[in-house]
Amino acid sequence: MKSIYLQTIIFSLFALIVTSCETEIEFRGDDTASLLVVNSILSPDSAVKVHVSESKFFLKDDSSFENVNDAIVNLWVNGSLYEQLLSTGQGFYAGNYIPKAGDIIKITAKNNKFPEVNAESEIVQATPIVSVDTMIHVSDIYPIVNGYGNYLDTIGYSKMTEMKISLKFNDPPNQKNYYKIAVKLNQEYSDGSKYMRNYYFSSDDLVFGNTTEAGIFDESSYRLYHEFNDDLFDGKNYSLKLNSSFISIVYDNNPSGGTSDLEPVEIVKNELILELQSISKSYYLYLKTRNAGSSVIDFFSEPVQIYSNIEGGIGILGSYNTSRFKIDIPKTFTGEYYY
Amino acid sequence: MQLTITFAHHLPKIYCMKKLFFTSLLPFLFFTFIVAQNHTISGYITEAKSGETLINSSVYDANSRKGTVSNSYGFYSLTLPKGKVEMLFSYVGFTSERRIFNLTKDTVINIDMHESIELKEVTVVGSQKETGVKGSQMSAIDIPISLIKSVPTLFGETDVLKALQLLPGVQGGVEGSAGFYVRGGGPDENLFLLDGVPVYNVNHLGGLFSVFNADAIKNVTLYKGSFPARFGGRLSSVLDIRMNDGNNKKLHGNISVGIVSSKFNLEGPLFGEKTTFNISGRRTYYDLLAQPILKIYAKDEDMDKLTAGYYFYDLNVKINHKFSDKDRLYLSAYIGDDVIYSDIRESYRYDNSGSEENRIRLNWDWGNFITALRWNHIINNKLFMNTTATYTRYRFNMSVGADTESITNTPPSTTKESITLGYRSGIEDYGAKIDFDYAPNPNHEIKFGGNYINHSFRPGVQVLSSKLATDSTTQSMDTTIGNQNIYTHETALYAEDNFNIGSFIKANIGLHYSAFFVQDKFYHSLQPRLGLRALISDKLSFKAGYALMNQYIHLLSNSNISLPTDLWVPVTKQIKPMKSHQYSAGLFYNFRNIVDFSVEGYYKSMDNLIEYKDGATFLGSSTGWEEKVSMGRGWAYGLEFLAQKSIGKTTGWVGYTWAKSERLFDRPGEEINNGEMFPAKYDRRHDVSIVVSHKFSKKFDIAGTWVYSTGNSGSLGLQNYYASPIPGEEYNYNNSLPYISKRNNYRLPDYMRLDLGVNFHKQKKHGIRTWNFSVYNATNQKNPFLIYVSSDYDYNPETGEYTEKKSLKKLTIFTIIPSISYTYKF
Repeated sequence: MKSIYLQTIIFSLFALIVTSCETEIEFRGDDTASLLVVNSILSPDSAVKVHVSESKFFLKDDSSFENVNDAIVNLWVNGSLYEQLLSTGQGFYAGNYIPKAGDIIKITAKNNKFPEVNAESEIVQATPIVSVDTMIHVSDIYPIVNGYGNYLDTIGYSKMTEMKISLKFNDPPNQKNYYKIAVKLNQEYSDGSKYMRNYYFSSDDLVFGNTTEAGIFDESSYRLYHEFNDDLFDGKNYSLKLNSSFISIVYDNNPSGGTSDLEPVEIVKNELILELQSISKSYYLYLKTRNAGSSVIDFFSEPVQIYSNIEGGIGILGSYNTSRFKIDIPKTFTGEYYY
Repeated sequence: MQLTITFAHHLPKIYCMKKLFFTSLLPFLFFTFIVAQNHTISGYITEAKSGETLINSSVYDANSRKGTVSNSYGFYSLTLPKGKVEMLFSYVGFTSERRIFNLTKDTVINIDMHESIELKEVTVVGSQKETGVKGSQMSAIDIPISLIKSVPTLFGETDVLKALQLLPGVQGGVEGSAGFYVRGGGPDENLFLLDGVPVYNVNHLGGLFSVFNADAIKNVTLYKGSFPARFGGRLSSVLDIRMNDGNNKKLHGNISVGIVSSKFNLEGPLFGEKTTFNISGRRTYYDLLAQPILKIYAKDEDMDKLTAGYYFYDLNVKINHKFSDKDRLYLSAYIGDDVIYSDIRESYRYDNSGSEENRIRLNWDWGNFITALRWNHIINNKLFMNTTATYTRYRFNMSVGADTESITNTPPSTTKESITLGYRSGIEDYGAKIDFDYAPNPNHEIKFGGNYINHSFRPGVQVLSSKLATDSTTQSMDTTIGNQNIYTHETALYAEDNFNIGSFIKANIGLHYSAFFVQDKFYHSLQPRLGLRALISDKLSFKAGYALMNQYIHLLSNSNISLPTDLWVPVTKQIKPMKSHQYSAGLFYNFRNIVDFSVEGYYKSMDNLIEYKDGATFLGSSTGWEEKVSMGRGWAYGLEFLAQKSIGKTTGWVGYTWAKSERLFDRPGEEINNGEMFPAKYDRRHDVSIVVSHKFSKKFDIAGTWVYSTGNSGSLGLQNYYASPIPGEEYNYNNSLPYISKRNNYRLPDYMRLDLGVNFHKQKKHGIRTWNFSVYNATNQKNPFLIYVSSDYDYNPETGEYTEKKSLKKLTIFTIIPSISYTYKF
């Protein structure tokens, strides 16, 4: 017994020795002044809209951002001043101009507190989707589980269906192109209500540069969108490979006695919308670094520098141009499965 | 006077033919003609007490003022004109030996040197050694192992790498780690050689300790630049560590007990003086101490069994057999592992209905195994051959599993379920090399040779196996995910001549040719090396050096600290070999054979460096790693000052470094920091270190180190800003983004530390016992391990609201740490 006490003392002593301590330190540096933040992602779908705010020193206690409503925000189109955007409140500035593909858009902004900042971006051409092929197979069948974790195997079963999507498009030659792909699920119900939402998908397509490949401790591989470039297929037809999973609940012949949260849903339209966006380089770099920054899970990893193209300030001026393709899917596909 | 070809004298024809062959290999052997009749003095220099060979001992003829040094195996060869010679053999800490005689024929003199008893009697010609004032080698340093052992360290664990971190030009990474960054280079740009065999993972416990057990080590030489042609394969440094051969006179050893580990060392003759052995081992035992506590915990928690712990161990073994004066065989091996384990068993009994037993097992282990079989052969008194077969491997194994056994009484049935997730990675090399030392005359010391390494890179492989067995059925599944092994071939040839032009100029000119074959791609490189010394006076010299280095392998690491999951990978078609050009120049001064001063400047440009792209993560998976890194360039330059005293009662050094290291990654599509220049991860402007050890008497000595350095740099978002929603997204995920104006834009507070140690020795009946007391960070300096933003919330009872208060905090992991150890040496 004596030896155990002795070992306990040694054990505790060792633990005490390696106990770390934290202390507050004074920030030393002169980069404490806030900067003007300009955010605008332009598209030929809508008129130019810009958000202007102030950045905040990282040790400031207040967590909200200050919108800037008194800025002079000018829109330049193809080298000429087109209009001054008008403040619509909450830091937003709106104009009348609807950008066209090929336009060079420049935004300048300033107010009494901040000197002028500016950024420039080209409105990119849309890349049409040529065709879409799908292939589905049932990958798993398992009991229905209600919200309390109870198995309800007397009323039916759940079915997971894997859908492999091949989306073909022609990449414009002799230029660097950047893309964003997203999948949406559009559901219309018998009561007339509509519900559109982004749908999780995965891909092991090489164009994503193994961003979806999981390490030994990394489990997540499904995302709501992926950005990629044409490094691997410049100027060629390319078939992009995507995977999505759907959960269907299949009831036995007479689903009587089921709990209310498991009653079948009357869906009259169930469609998947594939959105291929051609995006500007600035928007691509912004998305890439923003996603990378939010996915850093290792405590010791290098922090990510999020891309900014606002000269003299912070933020992003980018553009996108969307092509869509719709696929009707079985009405029983009600939910998604991702991990 | 007679014109004679040196090798045509006294020797059988077959030797002449061999020499003719070797000579023809080397275009710069044109100085083999001399204009006098010469004879060669050769032999081994050993320590009298133990028979241990002494590396870099100085051999000097006072009459002709010619000299040389013993090689890595204690062998020397000096060819002198016939006549009277006055040979002086010296080695740091040993009494010099003098031999005066008339040289009339080739002569073998094996010297046994005696450790100096009275320190004031020590005489040494330190300036003769290759790294001294008169040698041609610069940017290199020998540190006596006795001094390394005296440096006080964390938890009292003697650590070679941590002692070397205190030298100018070497930086140690994060607090407490055995990280190694040399002259602005990366952590994978150092070649660690243990008895000539590369060691791939030099860390235990995430870098808190290095794998080199000082008890097993004889000699440590660090090259930071001006690399001799015999070395290659890494850009930034070569650390040449030689193990003890073993005492050939008597059985000796020591045991040591510290707060982290216990060590032992045993050496002595085996079957007579011709065979010796040396074995050293150490193991941490914190896990063993913790077991009784875990048992109590398991009992309280109703567990059937709970074992868990962490330990590491090292074992160095060397056997040396002397067949004759001309042939020796060495077998050396190192094995070391870190192990994390746990085994938890629980059982439940459900009254009369049945029972269930659960088991969770975890086993991680990682480490090196290194072995070398070496044959030294003296072909003749001017030509020494060393042939080595080597094997080295680093591997990481992880296994996590769970087993369940359920027994139901009615109806009687048993179900067993087992699942195991395994992960393996590593690297394995088979190699062979041959090296020759050829000393045709006093003005030339030629080294040449070649090597071949077969690398097997084992990228991360995951294995998932599961088994479900009931009374009637058994289902099992085994899945393996991962890349196949990558096999590569690396070979190198080299030749260097360390020669004198008069007494003023000494130069080491060499060529290193290396080739690497990987996945149908062949890379090769011819690398010139130059070291030049101009002797301004007997005590003062100017040296300059140039080295082109190539590196064909990379270490993928996601962190600033060393993790066992870090992966070695070869270059590919896409990722080109790294290369560097390093220029260095400096002044070297020897003060009364007591203190060596040096001031060196260096400029290093590096190409095809890799950095991880923003947010890239590896975590043990090498798949697609090429897309996760960018290639770019780097520049490092600096000034290093060193004053080193290796003899006398007081030894140690004072070092200062001014350095700058920058990176530029601006290749299209691979931009980091928007394609603009940024400071490298361990760019630090100032580093100061003072290391002092003083022997008051045979019974009492003290040591202390003091270090000060500019803080490490890191990337910190100094502004937060509003991020608009991504068009099409329903939610604005993470609407506050940090703005990092530049990679490594913020500098941590300066670093300072004082370590103190004291030794009390006492002669006992069978040996000497030593108590060591040391204090790491004696002034309790709160040095930053990392900094972070902390949020505290103040509650206002009147409003019922919480107010956020942000502050910048630093985490200090090692405050003042005392330690104690006991050693008994017999």
